Amino acid sequence: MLNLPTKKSPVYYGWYIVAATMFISFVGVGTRQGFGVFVIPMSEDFGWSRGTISLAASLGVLLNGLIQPFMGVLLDRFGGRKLIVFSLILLGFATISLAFTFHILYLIFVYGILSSVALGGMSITTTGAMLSKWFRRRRATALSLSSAGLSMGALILVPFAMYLLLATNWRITWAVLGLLVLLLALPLAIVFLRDDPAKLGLLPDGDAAPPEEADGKKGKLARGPLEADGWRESFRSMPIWQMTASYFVCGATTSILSVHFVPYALGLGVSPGRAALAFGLMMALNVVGAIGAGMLSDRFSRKNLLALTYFVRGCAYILLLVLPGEMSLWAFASVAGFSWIASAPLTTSLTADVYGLKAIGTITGVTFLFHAVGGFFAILLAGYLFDLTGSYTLPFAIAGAMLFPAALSAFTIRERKYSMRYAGKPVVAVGAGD
Amino acid sequence: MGWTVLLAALKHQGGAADPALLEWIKDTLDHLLGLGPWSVIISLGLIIVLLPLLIMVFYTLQLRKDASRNPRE
Repeated sequence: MLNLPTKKSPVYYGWYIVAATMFISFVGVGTRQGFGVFVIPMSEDFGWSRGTISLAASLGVLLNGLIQPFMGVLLDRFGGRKLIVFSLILLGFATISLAFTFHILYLIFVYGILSSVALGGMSITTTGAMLSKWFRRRRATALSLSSAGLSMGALILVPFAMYLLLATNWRITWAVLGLLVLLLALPLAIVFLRDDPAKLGLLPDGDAAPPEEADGKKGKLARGPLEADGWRESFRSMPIWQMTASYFVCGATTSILSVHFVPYALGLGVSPGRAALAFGLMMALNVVGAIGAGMLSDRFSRKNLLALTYFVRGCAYILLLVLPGEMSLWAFASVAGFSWIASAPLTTSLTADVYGLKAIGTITGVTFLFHAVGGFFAILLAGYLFDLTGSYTLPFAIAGAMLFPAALSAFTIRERKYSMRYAGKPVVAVGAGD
Repeated sequence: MGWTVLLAALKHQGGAADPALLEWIKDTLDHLLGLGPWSVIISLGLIIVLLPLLIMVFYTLQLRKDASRNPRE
């Protein structure tokens, strides 16, 4: 194993953890989104219908959301390093095992259960909670960079799997994807991931000395007024409900588009290729949006950036409904793209700032569960309303309208009062909803 | 709708990509690049392998620099 850095290392060790978690997200999302590549060849080989093979994927997606609070508990108890390393080992072997698929129940068990449990253990919720311990001032920047691995995985690993499958077969492709996890991501995790900067004699952000308090004292990091020792404690205060309510809307307004955007575009008379291109543009812009929002929120108020994210997405929905024809799609994709995943690093950073790090894994896991529930019900409701009215106007209008109260909910979080970023600093003018 | 709904419920955080969309992306890449599948596999494979290797190499170089700058007392 490599030696560990000294306090005087020019590059703060936390940035290596960011790089490692970015690659872990990259590999994980490749395995998850890459499943779409295997649907047709596996269905043809075994004579399964699309509905049958989708059972494995849908179970996995649902389990992945439900399992997050439990993964959070494990993270808080055993640390992120152990959880992520174990998850990578499980994911690697499970993915290789998919090469030996012989029955639908085997696929459901290995992909729907084993892989999903593993992916839950190395999700951005888990890596975000871990990174929060390494960064305080640049927390959102670190989390947003790590989240960018998700988009990179979709852009690089999924086409790689697609071409490999074309040149070989689905069994070899699953085996190669599994080997990438075991031979590339796992060593990176073992070498770089560490739970606590203090164990390396480092301080968050690589600071040379602890931050100075208002009274001039230096020492332990200030304890915020709502710092929680357990997740239940956090849910007895207002800010977590404000963030969770917004995150519920976030789940609803992003998931509804994942399913209904292309059908909506086709209904406008747009070709499938152009509809997919508009959706692809939105996905590419989310990298810029997430990193930009992360960096800005380390300089300015996080809750204002979070509110702005929801507000911008709400405006994008208005553009989608008001502008004519294809123009509405491009306007929506351009505006909404910036807000697509920006909410995730901002919410995790703000949660860590307000509630501290002792139960951060469980708290963010529970919050993510609400995000998943929001997405699940929004998709169902949109489908139901479409059947009822024959149009997406009403479900999209409801989704867009929900974003403005979500923005208000985030905007009215009393960050200056409760966040540890401001602990010890005088609370200035109670402006900007604070 | 049924399973499609379940399948897409968490796509925001990484659901399975739509096979029709993937097919369209492949056709577009073929049209734009004009390369055979193995050329694309090797190019993308190199990027995938190089990413973690670069992190390791950069870290090792930094450690060496660090060691030469701060020799152990």
